[in-house]
Amino acid sequence: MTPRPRALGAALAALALVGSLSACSDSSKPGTLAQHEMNATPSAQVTSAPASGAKVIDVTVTGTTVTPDGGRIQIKVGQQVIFKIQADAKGEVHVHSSPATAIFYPAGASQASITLTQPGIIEVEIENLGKPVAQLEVQ
Amino acid sequence: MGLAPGLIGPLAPMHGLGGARDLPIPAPLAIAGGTAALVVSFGILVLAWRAPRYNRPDPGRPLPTRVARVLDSAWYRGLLRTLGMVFTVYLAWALIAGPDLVTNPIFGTFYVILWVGIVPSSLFFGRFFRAVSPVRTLNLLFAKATGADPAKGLFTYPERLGYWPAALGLLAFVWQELVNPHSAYIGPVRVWLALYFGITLIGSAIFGETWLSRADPFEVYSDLVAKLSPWARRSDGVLVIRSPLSNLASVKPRPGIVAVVAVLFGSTAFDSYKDSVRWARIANSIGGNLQVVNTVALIIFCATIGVTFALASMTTATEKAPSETGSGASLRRLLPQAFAHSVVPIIVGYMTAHYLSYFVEQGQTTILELSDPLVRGNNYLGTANWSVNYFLSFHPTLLASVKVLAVVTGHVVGVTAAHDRALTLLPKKHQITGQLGMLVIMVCYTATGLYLLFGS
Repeated sequence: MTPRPRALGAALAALALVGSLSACSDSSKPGTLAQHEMNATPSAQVTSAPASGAKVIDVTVTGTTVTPDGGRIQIKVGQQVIFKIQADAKGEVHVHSSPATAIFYPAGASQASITLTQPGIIEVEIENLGKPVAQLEVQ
Repeated sequence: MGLAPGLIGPLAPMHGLGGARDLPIPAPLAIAGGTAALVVSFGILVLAWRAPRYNRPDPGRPLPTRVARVLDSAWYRGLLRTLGMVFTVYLAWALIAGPDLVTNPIFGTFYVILWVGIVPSSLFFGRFFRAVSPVRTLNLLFAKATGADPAKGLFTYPERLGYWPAALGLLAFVWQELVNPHSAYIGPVRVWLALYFGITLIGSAIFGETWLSRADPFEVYSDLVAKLSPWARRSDGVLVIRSPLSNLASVKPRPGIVAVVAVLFGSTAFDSYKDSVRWARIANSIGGNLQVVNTVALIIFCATIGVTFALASMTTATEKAPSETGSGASLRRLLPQAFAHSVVPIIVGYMTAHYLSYFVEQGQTTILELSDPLVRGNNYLGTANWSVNYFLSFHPTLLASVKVLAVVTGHVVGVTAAHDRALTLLPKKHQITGQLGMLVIMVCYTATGLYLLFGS
């Protein structure tokens, strides 16, 4: 028997597969992460002083410019990390720990605190701008 | 990550999956590893055997008849095929009906269990992917349905294409994993897998099973790593156990094999490099579309490995008189293929270092997620309530030591394999000097690998 029907069968199966899968992909929405979510507290409402030994990271967002711009910051396991955010519009600081942490901040001055317990390198970025803030080196 | 907002939509994390990355390995460990690699290399060159050991055809001890009969039996092979097929259908369900969430198990299965898992599964069990490959099974079923021979297609596969289709397939995978900013979104994964199944199925109908052995990126990758396992099949079909080094020497030199190892090695090195602060700054200063910049960088990394390796291996036979047979030039052109197998252990060592914690930790996460293919709180496999053990991440010194050990072991095995091959190819009087080029490039690869693990 000629192998021709098989070629046809394979081609049809492959086409059906490509068709069905590509058709599905039209309706897909952006991927979402399993994550902890929190809101930064506007600075005016912050009452407690930071714990001694906390690492304070001053983040400034002006338009699409972010400082710091992605450099390495050393912190210790369990050390409190405080983001002091000064922004001209609301946005999201995304901490790529596992699981990830999303910090939603308002326009103006605000701050949020996290504690990282697992050693490793953790990227922090302004999610809505796709701009890096820092790589936290948790030792 | 210096992308203009709105250019390609919101950014997924660059690695697609997993959050924290490994800490850099400590400098003393990196230096110790590099020195060990250097010393052992020259030790092998000067002190190791002078007559080739692994050039005998068909070495190895046959497996006990009873074991071989089980492993070769139709029901055992059928069982593996059925398991592979059931798992594929289960995942197709998650792929087609599941939501576009990173917790959809298709992502962890595609990028971690399949891609990274090829290395340990093939290292321990031999040609693992081929045994469970859903495309191979479908080809068998189509052939059975039409009464044709699964091994044969409409045409004979042109041998001069060699592994080039697989090299392209591997490049397509690493591009999807490392460059595509939407790698952790379900749409691109659907398209990639649809193309994969389409190309492999149609190709196997046209060229028969040879297409799968040469063009299916996962099968070619798995077959190559399997050459470092003790499992092999003699040319008369008997299952044997051999030393990994003599198994490795049985890799068939074919066109495109250098491209395959170059893509595997170059892409992993690029993966280490692209997460560094330095690359983020460079990419930012180049400007333009990050996707394009990363694509170019990925290709440069792979091409650098391919070209440097080809050049180094061609220096091996420098003095082999071309006048004797008039075939000196053509022999030299074949040298990179003849040495390509010796990069496989270096790749495996570096992959182990690069992916160990990711595989163990993200792999566990995926096993949890597999119980809930549609991400709606099911627990079909009973694994949903397990918890992930982050032992490796919590012991960074142990992890770093294992990584350096893996790189150095891969280097030693690679240098030994290259040494043995050089002895079969080189004339007696150039046996030591002729190996220098190869040795130097391997030390460079290992040093670069350690530097990337240190500087990441």
